Amino acid sequence: GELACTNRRPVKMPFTRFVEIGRVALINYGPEEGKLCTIIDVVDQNRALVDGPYGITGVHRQVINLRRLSLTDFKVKIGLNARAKSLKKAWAAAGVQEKWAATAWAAKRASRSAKASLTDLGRFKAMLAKKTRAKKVKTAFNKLKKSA
Amino acid sequence: MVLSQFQVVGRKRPTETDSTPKIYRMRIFSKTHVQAKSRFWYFLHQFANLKASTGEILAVHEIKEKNPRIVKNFGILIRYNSRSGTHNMYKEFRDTRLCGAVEQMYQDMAGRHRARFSTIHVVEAKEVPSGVKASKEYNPEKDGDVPPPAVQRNNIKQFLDSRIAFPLAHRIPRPSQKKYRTTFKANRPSTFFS
Repeated sequence: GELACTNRRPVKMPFTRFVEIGRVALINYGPEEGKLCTIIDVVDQNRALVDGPYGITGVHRQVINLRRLSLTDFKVKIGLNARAKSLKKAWAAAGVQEKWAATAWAAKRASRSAKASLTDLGRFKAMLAKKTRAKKVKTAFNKLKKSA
Repeated sequence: MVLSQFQVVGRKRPTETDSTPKIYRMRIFSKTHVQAKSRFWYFLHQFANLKASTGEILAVHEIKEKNPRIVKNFGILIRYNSRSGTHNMYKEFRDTRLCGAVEQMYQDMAGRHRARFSTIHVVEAKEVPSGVKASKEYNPEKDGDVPPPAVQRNNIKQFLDSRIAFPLAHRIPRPSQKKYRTTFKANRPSTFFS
């Protein structure tokens, strides 16, 4: 059929992320929220069979609603119904863990969760750090303002 | 409704004249084994001269899905009562479990035809191979002109593609937990996530 997917694309679409076998997605709702998973099969228009792989991301093999997934830019090369072992190998080959951690999306999530899990001492340290930075910025700015 | 599949085996109570009555076996989709036994008698007194008081159930076993880790195609043949008559229907569903496909069928019949659980008889529910090549039962010398079982419905056929790919268009943003829901938002939502 005329499917506009990453392998054969007769039509240029504004979409670059597709639900396809091997697509890495972030689970954005439910008990597995925040974990990465790989789409290993499509059940129908609303559901996909998904696997972590469990050993890497902690997501068991399960059917999940596509509404609970946020697709990422990453795709691993696997066949239909890939076993956990071949999925792990494909993840290592594609370097998904490192590539994901390097994205701004992952960095934002990490910083947000780090901030939320700060203790009072952490918040105090953050406040001091902000103060020292602001002071340095202001002194430099005022110096430039005076010389201009 | 979460359904399970049960195998119910029963027969008429043996008497002096008939010491080894015919044994009947049915595969019933129901919520519990208790409901399965009830459904068994409901069908049996239609098919045979048999009812709960004259018969005995020999065994009730739950039939679990052999491999719930892969997606399969299921063809379900049903007989249902509409408001003005009774009809046969064949529907196909994709699911990991046969019970899941039957659950989908009941929801589908309720939505499309306003048919309730009590008016639907599942005549046959089984896995259907995706095509001629996938069908292991097909033997051209033996079967000849009879076509092998294969998926018939186009809405299921469109998913039988190992290189399937489709984008998620018009996504409605949703907070990750109910406690983060707010009545008002500062910005208009974006529905495009590439």
